[in-house]
Amino acid sequence: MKPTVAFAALAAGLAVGVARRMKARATGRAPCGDDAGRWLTVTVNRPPELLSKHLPEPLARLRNSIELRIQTAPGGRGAEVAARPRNGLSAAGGPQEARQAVRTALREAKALAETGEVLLPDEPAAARPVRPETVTAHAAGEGRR
Amino acid sequence: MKALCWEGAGRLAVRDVPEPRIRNDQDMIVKVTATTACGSDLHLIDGHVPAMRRGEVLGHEFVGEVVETGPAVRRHKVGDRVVVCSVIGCGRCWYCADDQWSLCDNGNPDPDLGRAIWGYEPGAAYGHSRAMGGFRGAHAEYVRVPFADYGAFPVPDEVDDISALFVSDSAPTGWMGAHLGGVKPGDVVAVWGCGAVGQMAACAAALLGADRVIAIDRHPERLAMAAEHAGAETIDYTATDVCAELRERTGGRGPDVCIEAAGMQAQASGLERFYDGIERRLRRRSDRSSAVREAVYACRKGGSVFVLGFFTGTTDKFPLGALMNKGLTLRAARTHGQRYIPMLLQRIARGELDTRHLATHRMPLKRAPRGYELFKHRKDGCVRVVFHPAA
Repeated sequence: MKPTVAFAALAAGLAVGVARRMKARATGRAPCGDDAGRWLTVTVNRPPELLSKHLPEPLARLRNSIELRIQTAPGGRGAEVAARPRNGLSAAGGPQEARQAVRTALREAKALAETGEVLLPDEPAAARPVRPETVTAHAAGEGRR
Repeated sequence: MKALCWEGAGRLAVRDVPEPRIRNDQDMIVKVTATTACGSDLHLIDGHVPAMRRGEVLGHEFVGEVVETGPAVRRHKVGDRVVVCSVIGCGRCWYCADDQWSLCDNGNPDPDLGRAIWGYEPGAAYGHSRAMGGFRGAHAEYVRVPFADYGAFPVPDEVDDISALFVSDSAPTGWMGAHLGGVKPGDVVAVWGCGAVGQMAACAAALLGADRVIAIDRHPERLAMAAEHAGAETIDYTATDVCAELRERTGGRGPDVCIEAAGMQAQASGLERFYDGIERRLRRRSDRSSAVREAVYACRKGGSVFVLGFFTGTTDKFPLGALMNKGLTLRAARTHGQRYIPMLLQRIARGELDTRHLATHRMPLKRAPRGYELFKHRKDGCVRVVFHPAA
Protein backbone atom coordinates (compact mmCIF):
# COMPACT_ATOMS: atom_id res chain seq x y z
CA MET A 1 0.00 0.00 0.00
CA LYS A 2 1.33 3.45 -0.90
CA PRO A 3 1.98 5.76 2.06
CA THR A 4 -0.57 8.29 0.83
CA VAL A 5 -3.30 5.64 0.63
CA ALA A 6 -2.42 4.32 4.07
CA PHE A 7 -2.46 7.82 5.48
CA ALA A 8 -5.82 8.54 3.87
CA ALA A 9 -7.26 5.32 5.28
CA LEU A 10 -5.94 6.14 8.75
CA ALA A 11 -7.33 9.67 8.58
CA ALA A 12 -10.70 8.39 7.41
CA GLY A 13 -10.77 5.87 10.25
CA LEU A 14 -9.95 8.55 12.78
CA ALA A 15 -12.59 10.84 11.33
CA VAL A 16 -15.25 8.13 11.61
CA GLY A 17 -14.25 7.48 15.21
CA VAL A 18 -14.41 11.17 16.11
CA ALA A 19 -17.75 11.55 14.30
CA ARG A 20 -19.19 8.59 16.18
CA ARG A 21 -18.04 9.99 19.50
CA MET A 22 -19.46 13.43 18.68
CA LYS A 23 -22.71 11.86 17.62
CA ALA A 24 -22.94 9.84 20.82
CA ARG A 25 -22.43 13.06 22.78
CA ALA A 26 -25.00 14.93 20.71
CA THR A 27 -27.65 12.24 21.00
CA GLY A 28 -26.89 11.56 24.64
CA ARG A 29 -26.61 7.87 23.99
CA ALA A 30 -25.29 5.89 26.92
CA PRO A 31 -21.58 5.16 26.59
CA CYS A 32 -21.88 1.42 27.12
CA GLY A 33 -19.53 -0.31 24.74
CA ASP A 34 -19.25 -3.98 23.95
CA ASP A 35 -15.57 -4.80 23.93
CA ALA A 36 -14.74 -8.21 22.54
CA GLY A 37 -13.21 -9.53 25.75
CA ARG A 38 -15.93 -8.50 28.17
CA TRP A 39 -18.22 -10.94 29.87
CA LEU A 40 -21.84 -10.81 28.77
CA THR A 41 -24.08 -10.91 31.81
CA VAL A 42 -27.66 -11.28 32.99
CA THR A 43 -29.21 -11.50 36.43
CA VAL A 44 -31.68 -14.36 36.76
CA ASN A 45 -34.28 -14.28 39.51
CA ARG A 46 -33.64 -17.92 40.46
CA PRO A 47 -31.31 -19.52 43.01
CA PRO A 48 -27.77 -19.90 41.60
CA GLU A 49 -27.51 -23.53 42.72
CA LEU A 50 -30.62 -24.36 40.72
CA LEU A 51 -29.14 -22.83 37.58
CA SER A 52 -25.83 -24.60 38.11
CA LYS A 53 -27.60 -27.91 38.48
CA HIS A 54 -30.05 -27.44 35.63
CA LEU A 55 -28.45 -25.12 33.13
CA PRO A 56 -31.21 -23.85 30.81
CA GLU A 57 -31.06 -25.37 27.37
CA PRO A 58 -29.90 -22.28 25.39
CA LEU A 59 -26.76 -22.10 27.54
CA ALA A 60 -26.36 -25.86 27.89
CA ARG A 61 -26.23 -26.06 24.10
CA LEU A 62 -23.23 -23.72 23.99
CA ARG A 63 -21.61 -25.09 27.14
CA ASN A 64 -18.47 -26.42 25.48
CA SER A 65 -17.80 -23.29 23.49
CA ILE A 66 -18.28 -20.63 26.16
CA GLU A 67 -16.72 -19.63 29.42
CA LEU A 68 -19.45 -19.52 32.05
CA ARG A 69 -19.66 -18.42 35.63
CA ILE A 70 -22.63 -18.28 37.98
CA GLN A 71 -22.61 -16.44 41.29
CA THR A 72 -25.09 -15.23 43.85
CA ALA A 73 -26.54 -11.80 43.12
CA PRO A 74 -26.67 -9.38 46.04
CA GLY A 75 -29.92 -8.40 47.70
CA GLY A 76 -31.81 -11.58 46.99
CA ARG A 77 -31.89 -10.94 43.26
CA GLY A 78 -31.05 -14.51 42.33
CA ALA A 79 -28.00 -15.38 40.24
CA GLU A 80 -25.57 -13.39 38.16
CA VAL A 81 -24.78 -15.40 35.07
CA ALA A 82 -21.81 -14.37 32.94
CA ALA A 83 -20.62 -15.92 29.70
CA ARG A 84 -18.31 -15.15 26.82
CA PRO A 85 -17.24 -17.08 23.75
CA ARG A 86 -14.19 -19.31 23.97
CA ASN A 87 -11.88 -19.02 21.01
CA GLY A 88 -13.49 -22.13 19.63
CA LEU A 89 -17.00 -20.70 19.33
CA SER A 90 -17.32 -20.10 15.64
CA ALA A 91 -20.03 -18.12 13.98
CA ALA A 92 -20.40 -17.40 10.32
CA GLY A 93 -20.18 -13.65 10.83
CA GLY A 94 -17.12 -13.66 13.09
CA PRO A 95 -16.55 -12.55 16.69
CA GLN A 96 -19.47 -10.10 16.84
CA GLU A 97 -21.91 -12.79 15.75
CA ALA A 98 -20.41 -15.21 18.27
CA ARG A 99 -20.99 -12.65 21.02
CA GLN A 100 -24.52 -12.05 19.76
CA ALA A 101 -25.17 -15.80 19.95
CA VAL A 102 -24.03 -15.81 23.58
CA ARG A 103 -26.09 -12.71 24.35
CA THR A 104 -29.20 -14.33 22.89
CA ALA A 105 -28.54 -17.57 24.75
CA LEU A 106 -28.21 -15.70 28.04
CA ARG A 107 -31.44 -13.82 27.48
CA GLU A 108 -33.35 -16.94 26.48
CA ALA A 109 -31.92 -18.92 29.38
CA LYS A 110 -33.04 -16.22 31.77
CA ALA A 111 -36.55 -16.12 30.27
CA LEU A 112 -36.88 -19.91 30.44
CA ALA A 113 -35.61 -20.07 34.02
CA GLU A 114 -37.88 -17.28 35.18
CA THR A 115 -41.07 -17.73 33.14
CA GLY A 116 -40.84 -21.14 31.49
CA GLU A 117 -40.95 -19.71 27.97
CA VAL A 118 -39.21 -17.36 25.58
CA LEU A 119 -41.70 -14.75 24.47
CA LEU A 120 -42.14 -14.62 20.72
CA PRO A 121 -42.85 -11.34 18.95
CA ASP A 122 -46.17 -10.69 17.29
CA GLU A 123 -46.44 -11.54 13.65
CA PRO A 124 -46.20 -8.22 11.81
CA ALA A 125 -49.50 -6.76 10.75
CA ALA A 126 -47.74 -4.70 8.12
CA ALA A 127 -48.69 -5.42 4.56
CA ARG A 128 -45.44 -3.88 3.42
CA PRO A 129 -42.03 -5.17 4.46
CA VAL A 130 -39.67 -2.94 6.39
CA ARG A 131 -36.56 -1.84 4.60
CA PRO A 132 -33.53 -2.61 6.78
CA GLU A 133 -32.11 0.85 6.28
CA THR A 134 -35.20 2.33 7.88
CA VAL A 135 -34.31 0.82 11.23
CA THR A 136 -30.69 1.83 10.83
CA ALA A 137 -31.71 5.38 10.12
CA HIS A 138 -33.95 5.41 13.16
CA ALA A 139 -31.27 3.90 15.32
CA ALA A 140 -29.05 6.81 14.40
CA GLY A 141 -31.38 9.42 15.80
CA GLU A 142 -35.01 10.33 15.80
CA GLY A 143 -37.72 8.39 14.08
CA ARG A 144 -39.21 11.33 12.28
CA ARG A 145 -39.15 11.18 8.53
CA MET B 1 -59.91 -7.92 11.05
CA LYS B 2 -60.04 -4.12 11.11
CA ALA B 3 -57.20 -2.25 12.80
CA LEU B 4 -55.86 1.29 12.97
CA CYS B 5 -52.42 1.26 11.38
CA TRP B 6 -49.54 3.74 11.38
CA GLU B 7 -48.72 4.64 7.80
CA GLY B 8 -45.76 6.93 8.34
CA ALA B 9 -45.26 10.22 10.19
CA GLY B 10 -48.62 11.89 10.67
CA ARG B 11 -50.58 9.33 8.67
CA LEU B 12 -53.13 6.77 9.92
CA ALA B 13 -55.48 4.38 8.18
CA VAL B 14 -57.94 1.67 9.16
CA ARG B 15 -56.82 -1.49 7.36
CA ASP B 16 -57.64 -5.17 7.14
CA VAL B 17 -54.86 -7.09 8.88
CA PRO B 18 -54.50 -10.76 9.84
CA GLU B 19 -56.03 -11.74 13.19
CA PRO B 20 -53.47 -12.40 15.95
CA ARG B 21 -52.68 -15.97 16.97
CA ILE B 22 -51.56 -17.53 20.22
CA ARG B 23 -47.77 -17.86 19.92
CA ASN B 24 -46.80 -18.79 23.48
CA ASP B 25 -48.51 -21.06 25.98
CA GLN B 26 -49.13 -18.17 28.37
CA ASP B 27 -50.87 -16.03 25.72
CA MET B 28 -54.54 -15.37 25.30
CA ILE B 29 -56.60 -13.57 22.68
CA VAL B 30 -58.93 -10.77 23.73
CA LYS B 31 -61.78 -9.40 21.64
CA VAL B 32 -61.59 -5.65 22.16
CA THR B 33 -64.83 -3.96 23.23
CA ALA B 34 -63.37 -0.51 23.89
CA THR B 35 -59.98 1.11 23.35
CA THR B 36 -58.84 4.71 23.67
CA ALA B 37 -56.38 7.18 22.19
CA CYS B 38 -53.55 8.27 24.49
CA GLY B 39 -51.22 11.26 24.37
CA SER B 40 -48.21 8.98 24.01
CA ASP B 41 -49.72 7.68 20.74
CA LEU B 42 -49.30 11.17 19.31
CA HIS B 43 -45.53 10.91 19.65
CA LEU B 44 -45.61 7.63 17.78
CA ILE B 45 -47.94 8.96 15.12
CA ASP B 46 -45.82 12.05 14.51
CA GLY B 47 -42.72 9.89 14.11
CA HIS B 48 -40.85 10.98 17.24
CA VAL B 49 -40.27 7.42 18.46
CA PRO B 50 -37.53 5.34 16.80
CA ALA B 51 -38.08 1.99 15.06
CA MET B 52 -41.74 2.41 14.17
CA ARG B 53 -42.80 0.12 11.38
CA ARG B 54 -45.29 1.07 8.69
CA GLY B 55 -48.49 -0.91 9.21
CA GLU B 56 -47.98 -1.10 12.99
CA VAL B 57 -51.29 -1.38 14.87
CA LEU B 58 -51.59 1.40 17.45
CA GLY B 59 -53.31 1.54 20.84
CA HIS B 60 -52.38 0.28 24.29
CA GLU B 61 -55.35 0.99 26.55
CA PHE B 62 -58.19 -1.49 26.23
CA VAL B 63 -60.88 -3.66 27.74
CA GLY B 64 -62.44 -6.73 26.19
CA GLU B 65 -63.57 -10.32 26.36
CA VAL B 66 -61.36 -13.42 26.43
CA VAL B 67 -61.98 -15.52 23.31
CA GLU B 68 -59.05 -17.98 23.44
CA THR B 69 -56.51 -19.03 26.04
CA GLY B 70 -53.14 -20.74 25.72
CA PRO B 71 -52.61 -24.06 27.53
CA ALA B 72 -50.63 -22.46 30.37
CA VAL B 73 -53.15 -19.71 31.20
CA ARG B 74 -54.62 -20.42 34.66
CA ARG B 75 -56.40 -17.28 35.83
CA HIS B 76 -58.69 -16.57 32.87
CA LYS B 77 -61.21 -18.46 30.78
CA VAL B 78 -63.11 -17.83 27.58
CA GLY B 79 -65.91 -15.34 28.14
CA ASP B 80 -64.22 -13.42 30.97
CA ARG B 81 -64.41 -9.63 30.78
CA VAL B 82 -60.91 -8.28 31.35
CA VAL B 83 -58.94 -5.07 31.40
CA VAL B 84 -55.36 -5.44 30.19
CA CYS B 85 -52.41 -3.42 31.46
CA SER B 86 -50.75 -1.34 28.74
CA VAL B 87 -47.24 -2.61 29.57
CA ILE B 88 -46.24 -6.25 29.29
CA GLY B 89 -44.79 -7.85 32.40
CA CYS B 90 -43.78 -11.46 32.93
CA GLY B 91 -44.56 -11.36 36.65
CA ARG B 92 -41.46 -13.34 37.67
CA CYS B 93 -38.31 -11.37 36.89
CA TRP B 94 -36.86 -9.34 39.75
CA TYR B 95 -38.42 -6.10 38.50
CA CYS B 96 -41.93 -7.54 38.25
CA ALA B 97 -41.51 -9.23 41.63
CA ASP B 98 -40.52 -5.82 42.98
CA ASP B 99 -43.68 -4.23 41.47
CA GLN B 100 -41.73 -2.32 38.85
CA TRP B 101 -43.62 -3.90 36.00
CA SER B 102 -42.74 -1.55 33.18
CA LEU B 103 -39.09 -2.53 33.66
CA CYS B 104 -39.79 -6.21 33.00
CA ASP B 105 -36.78 -8.09 31.66
CA ASN B 106 -38.72 -10.72 29.72
CA GLY B 107 -41.53 -8.84 27.96
CA ASN B 108 -39.52 -7.35 25.10
CA PRO B 109 -38.53 -9.96 22.48
CA ASP B 110 -35.95 -7.64 20.91
CA PRO B 111 -34.19 -5.75 23.69
CA ASP B 112 -31.03 -5.44 21.58
CA LEU B 113 -32.76 -2.92 19.34
CA GLY B 114 -33.57 -0.69 22.29
CA ARG B 115 -29.99 -0.98 23.52
CA ALA B 116 -28.67 -0.04 20.07
CA ILE B 117 -30.83 3.06 20.01
CA TRP B 118 -30.81 4.25 23.60
CA GLY B 119 -28.12 2.25 25.37
CA TYR B 120 -30.57 0.34 27.57
CA GLU B 121 -33.21 -2.35 27.16
CA PRO B 122 -36.72 -0.91 27.56
CA GLY B 123 -39.72 -2.94 28.65
CA ALA B 124 -42.53 -3.74 26.23
CA ALA B 125 -45.94 -2.21 25.63
CA TYR B 126 -48.81 -2.77 23.24
CA GLY B 127 -49.02 -0.71 20.08
CA HIS B 128 -45.54 0.66 20.34
CA SER B 129 -42.39 0.69 18.24
CA ARG B 130 -40.20 -2.36 17.70
CA ALA B 131 -37.78 -0.93 20.24
CA MET B 132 -40.46 -1.53 22.85
CA GLY B 133 -41.42 -5.00 21.71
CA GLY B 134 -43.36 -4.28 18.55
CA PHE B 135 -46.50 -5.90 19.89
CA ARG B 136 -49.63 -5.12 17.96
CA GLY B 137 -51.87 -2.55 19.55
CA ALA B 138 -55.43 -2.49 20.80
CA HIS B 139 -57.03 -0.35 18.11
CA ALA B 140 -58.15 -3.59 16.53
CA GLU B 141 -60.86 -6.19 16.85
CA TYR B 142 -58.54 -8.70 18.57
CA VAL B 143 -55.30 -8.51 20.53
CA ARG B 144 -52.81 -11.16 21.61
CA VAL B 145 -52.08 -10.80 25.34
CA PRO B 146 -48.73 -12.36 26.38
CA PHE B 147 -48.21 -13.43 30.00
CA ALA B 148 -51.99 -13.24 30.32
CA ASP B 149 -52.13 -14.37 33.95
CA TYR B 150 -50.09 -11.31 34.93
CA GLY B 151 -51.29 -8.64 32.49
CA ALA B 152 -55.07 -9.11 32.39
CA PHE B 153 -57.48 -8.53 35.25
CA PRO B 154 -61.13 -9.55 35.62
CA VAL B 155 -63.53 -6.61 35.63
CA PRO B 156 -66.01 -6.69 38.54
CA ASP B 157 -69.68 -6.79 37.55
CA GLU B 158 -70.27 -3.38 39.12
CA VAL B 159 -67.73 -1.75 36.76
CA ASP B 160 -68.82 -0.97 33.20
CA ASP B 161 -66.50 -1.19 30.20
CA ILE B 162 -65.83 2.53 29.87
CA SER B 163 -64.91 2.87 33.54
CA ALA B 164 -62.66 -0.19 33.32
CA LEU B 165 -61.05 0.97 30.09
CA PHE B 166 -59.11 3.77 31.79
CA VAL B 167 -57.78 1.33 34.41
CA SER B 168 -55.68 -0.12 31.60
CA ASP B 169 -53.28 2.84 31.63
CA SER B 170 -54.45 6.36 32.53
CA ALA B 171 -55.66 5.63 36.05
CA PRO B 172 -52.71 3.51 37.23
CA THR B 173 -50.24 5.92 35.63
CA GLY B 174 -51.78 8.88 37.39
CA TRP B 175 -52.03 6.95 40.64
CA MET B 176 -48.40 5.93 40.39
CA GLY B 177 -47.31 9.55 40.03
CA ALA B 178 -49.07 10.50 43.24
CA HIS B 179 -48.09 7.35 45.12
CA LEU B 180 -44.42 7.13 44.14
CA GLY B 181 -44.22 10.93 44.24
CA GLY B 182 -44.86 10.48 47.94
CA VAL B 183 -48.16 12.37 48.32
CA LYS B 184 -49.32 12.31 51.93
CA PRO B 185 -52.05 13.97 53.98
CA GLY B 186 -51.61 17.72 54.22
CA ASP B 187 -49.55 18.07 51.04
CA VAL B 188 -50.03 20.63 48.32
CA VAL B 189 -49.74 18.84 44.97
CA ALA B 190 -49.35 20.49 41.57
CA VAL B 191 -50.09 18.59 38.37
CA TRP B 192 -48.81 19.78 35.00
CA GLY B 193 -51.09 18.63 32.15
CA CYS B 194 -54.79 17.87 32.47
CA GLY B 195 -55.15 15.07 29.96
CA ALA B 196 -56.49 11.77 31.25
CA VAL B 197 -53.28 10.88 33.11
CA GLY B 198 -53.08 14.30 34.73
CA GLN B 199 -56.77 14.10 35.68
CA MET B 200 -56.16 10.75 37.33
CA ALA B 201 -53.02 12.00 39.08
CA ALA B 202 -55.06 14.88 40.52
CA CYS B 203 -57.80 12.49 41.68
CA ALA B 204 -55.20 10.14 43.18
CA ALA B 205 -53.50 12.98 45.05
CA ALA B 206 -56.84 14.00 46.53
CA LEU B 207 -57.67 10.40 47.50
CA LEU B 208 -54.23 9.99 49.09
CA GLY B 209 -55.02 12.91 51.38
CA ALA B 210 -53.49 15.96 49.71
CA ASP B 211 -54.77 19.12 51.33
CA ARG B 212 -54.82 20.97 48.02
CA VAL B 213 -54.39 19.94 44.40
CA ILE B 214 -53.48 22.52 41.77
CA ALA B 215 -53.99 21.58 38.11
CA ILE B 216 -52.08 23.39 35.35
CA ASP B 217 -53.10 23.43 31.68
CA ARG B 218 -54.18 25.89 28.99
CA HIS B 219 -57.49 24.32 27.94
CA PRO B 220 -60.43 25.69 29.97
CA GLU B 221 -62.53 22.53 29.63
CA ARG B 222 -59.71 20.35 30.97
CA LEU B 223 -59.12 22.69 33.87
CA ALA B 224 -62.86 22.66 34.58
CA MET B 225 -62.83 18.86 34.55
CA ALA B 226 -60.00 18.77 37.11
CA ALA B 227 -61.88 21.23 39.29
CA GLU B 228 -65.11 19.25 39.10
CA HIS B 229 -63.79 15.69 39.48
CA ALA B 230 -60.63 16.14 41.56
CA GLY B 231 -61.62 19.24 43.50
CA ALA B 232 -58.52 20.93 42.09
CA GLU B 233 -57.65 24.60 41.99
CA THR B 234 -56.54 25.57 38.50
CA ILE B 235 -53.90 27.62 36.70
CA ASP B 236 -54.03 28.55 33.02
CA TYR B 237 -50.33 28.70 32.20
CA THR B 238 -50.89 31.00 29.23
CA ALA B 239 -52.38 33.64 31.50
CA THR B 240 -49.84 33.82 34.30
CA ASP B 241 -46.33 33.02 35.53
CA VAL B 242 -46.85 29.51 36.90
CA CYS B 243 -43.92 29.50 39.34
CA ALA B 244 -44.85 32.89 40.75
CA GLU B 245 -48.50 31.86 41.01
CA LEU B 246 -47.62 28.63 42.83
CA ARG B 247 -45.35 30.46 45.28
CA GLU B 248 -48.05 33.00 45.97
CA ARG B 249 -50.63 30.29 46.61
CA THR B 250 -48.36 28.26 48.90
CA GLY B 251 -47.01 30.84 51.30
CA GLY B 252 -43.77 31.17 49.36
CA ARG B 253 -42.88 27.47 49.69
CA GLY B 254 -44.00 25.87 46.43
CA PRO B 255 -45.90 22.59 46.10
CA ASP B 256 -44.71 19.60 48.17
CA VAL B 257 -45.17 17.22 45.25
CA CYS B 258 -45.03 18.20 41.56
CA ILE B 259 -46.38 15.72 39.02
CA GLU B 260 -45.50 16.26 35.38
CA ALA B 261 -48.11 14.68 33.10
CA ALA B 262 -47.57 16.57 29.86
CA GLY B 263 -44.68 14.70 28.28
CA MET B 264 -43.52 15.72 24.85
CA GLN B 265 -46.88 17.44 24.37
CA ALA B 266 -45.73 20.14 26.76
CA GLN B 267 -45.71 23.55 25.12
CA ALA B 268 -43.75 26.39 26.58
CA SER B 269 -44.84 29.91 25.94
CA GLY B 270 -43.13 32.96 24.48
CA LEU B 271 -39.42 32.86 23.67
CA GLU B 272 -38.93 29.48 25.34
CA ARG B 273 -41.42 27.92 22.92
CA PHE B 274 -39.60 29.47 19.96
CA TYR B 275 -36.26 28.17 21.26
CA ASP B 276 -37.70 24.68 21.87
CA GLY B 277 -39.02 24.55 18.33
CA ILE B 278 -35.66 25.45 16.80
CA GLU B 279 -33.78 22.94 18.92
CA ARG B 280 -36.12 20.14 17.86
CA ARG B 281 -36.02 21.08 14.20
CA LEU B 282 -32.24 21.04 14.29
CA ARG B 283 -32.51 17.61 15.96
CA ARG B 284 -30.23 18.75 18.73
CA ARG B 285 -32.67 17.06 21.10
CA SER B 286 -35.91 15.19 20.83
CA ASP B 287 -37.87 15.97 23.97
CA ARG B 288 -39.75 19.09 25.00
CA SER B 289 -39.31 19.38 28.69
CA SER B 290 -40.71 22.79 29.59
CA ALA B 291 -43.16 21.28 32.10
CA VAL B 292 -40.41 19.27 33.82
CA ARG B 293 -38.24 22.38 34.03
CA GLU B 294 -41.08 24.37 35.52
CA ALA B 295 -41.89 21.63 38.03
CA VAL B 296 -38.29 21.56 39.25
CA TYR B 297 -38.21 25.34 39.64
CA ALA B 298 -41.64 25.47 41.32
CA CYS B 299 -41.28 22.57 43.76
CA ARG B 300 -40.63 23.46 47.39
CA LYS B 301 -37.19 22.81 48.86
CA GLY B 302 -36.88 19.17 49.77
CA GLY B 303 -39.98 18.30 47.73
CA SER B 304 -40.61 15.66 45.12
CA VAL B 305 -41.00 15.78 41.34
CA PHE B 306 -42.45 12.84 39.46
CA VAL B 307 -42.20 12.66 35.65
CA LEU B 308 -45.17 10.76 34.21
CA GLY B 309 -45.08 12.23 30.72
CA PHE B 310 -43.69 10.15 27.88
CA PHE B 311 -40.15 10.95 26.75
CA THR B 312 -37.81 8.97 24.55
CA GLY B 313 -34.64 10.92 23.99
CA THR B 314 -32.68 13.83 25.33
CA THR B 315 -33.33 17.38 26.37
CA ASP B 316 -31.31 20.31 27.57
CA LYS B 317 -31.62 23.36 29.79
CA PHE B 318 -32.42 20.95 32.57
CA PRO B 319 -32.13 22.82 35.91
CA LEU B 320 -29.73 20.40 37.56
CA GLY B 321 -28.56 23.11 39.94
CA ALA B 322 -32.09 23.69 41.24
CA LEU B 323 -32.58 19.95 41.65
CA MET B 324 -29.41 19.62 43.68
CA ASN B 325 -29.45 22.80 45.72
CA LYS B 326 -33.15 22.48 46.60
CA GLY B 327 -32.63 18.89 47.70
CA LEU B 328 -35.39 17.57 45.44
CA THR B 329 -36.30 13.98 44.81
CA LEU B 330 -36.82 13.30 41.10
CA ARG B 331 -38.52 10.09 40.01
CA ALA B 332 -39.99 8.84 36.75
CA ALA B 333 -41.45 5.72 35.22
CA ARG B 334 -43.71 4.33 32.60
CA THR B 335 -46.71 2.81 34.31
CA HIS B 336 -46.24 -0.03 36.76
CA GLY B 337 -49.92 -0.66 36.10
CA GLN B 338 -50.17 -4.25 37.33
CA ARG B 339 -49.33 -2.96 40.80
CA TYR B 340 -52.38 -0.71 40.95
CA ILE B 341 -55.07 -2.16 38.66
CA PRO B 342 -56.83 -4.52 41.14
CA MET B 343 -57.00 -1.75 43.76
CA LEU B 344 -58.30 0.77 41.22
CA LEU B 345 -61.02 -1.59 39.99
CA GLN B 346 -62.15 -2.05 43.60
CA ARG B 347 -62.17 1.70 44.19
CA ILE B 348 -64.32 2.21 41.09
CA ALA B 349 -66.65 -0.60 42.16
CA ARG B 350 -67.04 1.08 45.57
CA GLY B 351 -67.71 4.47 43.95
CA GLU B 352 -64.54 6.08 45.33
CA LEU B 353 -63.04 6.79 41.92
CA ASP B 354 -64.71 7.84 38.69
CA THR B 355 -63.12 7.55 35.26
CA ARG B 356 -66.11 7.75 32.91
CA HIS B 357 -65.85 11.50 32.46
CA LEU B 358 -62.55 11.05 30.64
CA ALA B 359 -64.42 9.56 27.67
CA THR B 360 -65.51 12.83 26.09
CA HIS B 361 -65.93 11.26 22.65
CA ARG B 362 -66.94 7.78 21.46
CA MET B 363 -66.96 6.45 17.92
CA PRO B 364 -66.53 3.27 15.84
CA LEU B 365 -62.96 2.14 15.18
CA LYS B 366 -63.43 2.82 11.48
CA ARG B 367 -63.50 6.54 12.33
CA ALA B 368 -60.31 6.40 14.39
CA PRO B 369 -58.23 8.70 12.12
CA ARG B 370 -60.87 11.37 12.62
CA GLY B 371 -60.84 10.62 16.35
CA TYR B 372 -57.11 11.19 16.55
CA GLU B 373 -57.54 14.47 14.68
CA LEU B 374 -60.00 15.62 17.34
CA PHE B 375 -57.74 14.36 20.11
CA LYS B 376 -54.51 15.83 18.81
CA HIS B 377 -55.91 19.31 18.31
CA ARG B 378 -58.09 19.20 21.46
CA LYS B 379 -61.11 20.03 19.30
CA ASP B 380 -64.60 20.04 20.71
CA GLY B 381 -63.31 19.76 24.28
CA CYS B 382 -61.76 16.37 23.57
CA VAL B 383 -59.93 14.72 26.47
CA ARG B 384 -60.14 11.12 25.30
CA VAL B 385 -61.72 9.42 22.30
CA VAL B 386 -62.98 5.88 22.86
CA PHE B 387 -63.12 3.54 19.87
CA HIS B 388 -65.46 0.56 19.62
CA PRO B 389 -64.18 -2.02 17.11
CA ALA B 390 -67.50 -3.86 16.92
CA ALA B 391 -69.58 -0.76 16.21
